[in-house]
Amino acid sequence: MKEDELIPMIRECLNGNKEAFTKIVRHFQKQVFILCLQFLNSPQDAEDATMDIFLKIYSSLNSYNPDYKFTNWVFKIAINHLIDILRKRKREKIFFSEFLEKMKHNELVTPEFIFFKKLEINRIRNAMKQIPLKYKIVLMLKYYHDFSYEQIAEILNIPRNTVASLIFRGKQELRKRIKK
Amino acid sequence: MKCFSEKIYSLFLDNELNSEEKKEVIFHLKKCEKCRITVEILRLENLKIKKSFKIDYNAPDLTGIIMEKIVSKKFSPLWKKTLWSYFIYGFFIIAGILAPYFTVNYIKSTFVFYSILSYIFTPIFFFFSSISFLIRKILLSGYDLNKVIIGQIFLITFLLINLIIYLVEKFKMKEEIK
Repeated sequence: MKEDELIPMIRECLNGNKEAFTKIVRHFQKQVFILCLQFLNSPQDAEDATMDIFLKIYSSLNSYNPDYKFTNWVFKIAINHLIDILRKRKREKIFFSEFLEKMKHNELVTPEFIFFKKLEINRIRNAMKQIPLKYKIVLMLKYYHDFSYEQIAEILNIPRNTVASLIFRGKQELRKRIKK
Repeated sequence: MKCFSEKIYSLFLDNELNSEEKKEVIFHLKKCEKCRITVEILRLENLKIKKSFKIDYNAPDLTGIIMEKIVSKKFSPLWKKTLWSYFIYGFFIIAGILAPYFTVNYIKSTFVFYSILSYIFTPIFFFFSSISFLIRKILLSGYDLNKVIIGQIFLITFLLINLIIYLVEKFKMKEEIK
């Protein structure tokens, strides 16, 4: 679904047609769920967070400014919500840990894993646990979710140059941790 | 031609250079093997980072549950939000009118007035209150009018900070309850 097609649905939602929101949920739920899973440890927590995020999106639809991309706005709400959860639970340190540890067992059998094991994916994952959250977020948005610097700047409400610096410094931090 | 920095190559790979800069980088890469290797290493690094975020998990379909929650709770957030906004704007307008009045005319009672008002809002104000009390003690000694006004400005600032904290907490609590 294209960005332009979402605007009429948002309008319908604001006019009281709750069913129009179904299409918005279907369109974004996978992305949002994966994002939640990347932030939190368990699929159950990710499900709860996904639901909360969509309720938040629905309840703040009227504050959406159509001059900006709706996808960016959705991610902005999602990330703010997830950061809140992490802060509340003080779980920044175990970001990515347990669940990904479990995932390793599933991946062991796939040829893809064997290939990327050689490329030190696990070392990166371990290093990723140690770098500050701000770096993880920008690296995730850039390299996993394929957002441009401009979009990341909009999502995180920071200047574009800061995004560039954070990505650059994030990679340096990663390298330092990998070398250790 | 001088080699570009690693940061430039990183921006190049992220497709964040303008067309002119991109051309320059490509032109240089055609000639410099060392830089080509650097770019290849950076490209591989990006790929590894991408893969490190990958999670093989099938996202469940939550549409039904989400819509059920929205429909059953009879979400009507628009008016709630408007009411809150009116409340906040109203408070600031009234505070804006009353604060200078109290500041100039009722110096002694203003502190008590704002303190009581703030305790109603949240106990965190005890902290701000104690700080403002110290400031008041220092600044208001001798009741010099300028010092009084400065003291009151501090006091009002603390109150407003506290009020903002309270409102943010209240909103967060509401979201949690949902």
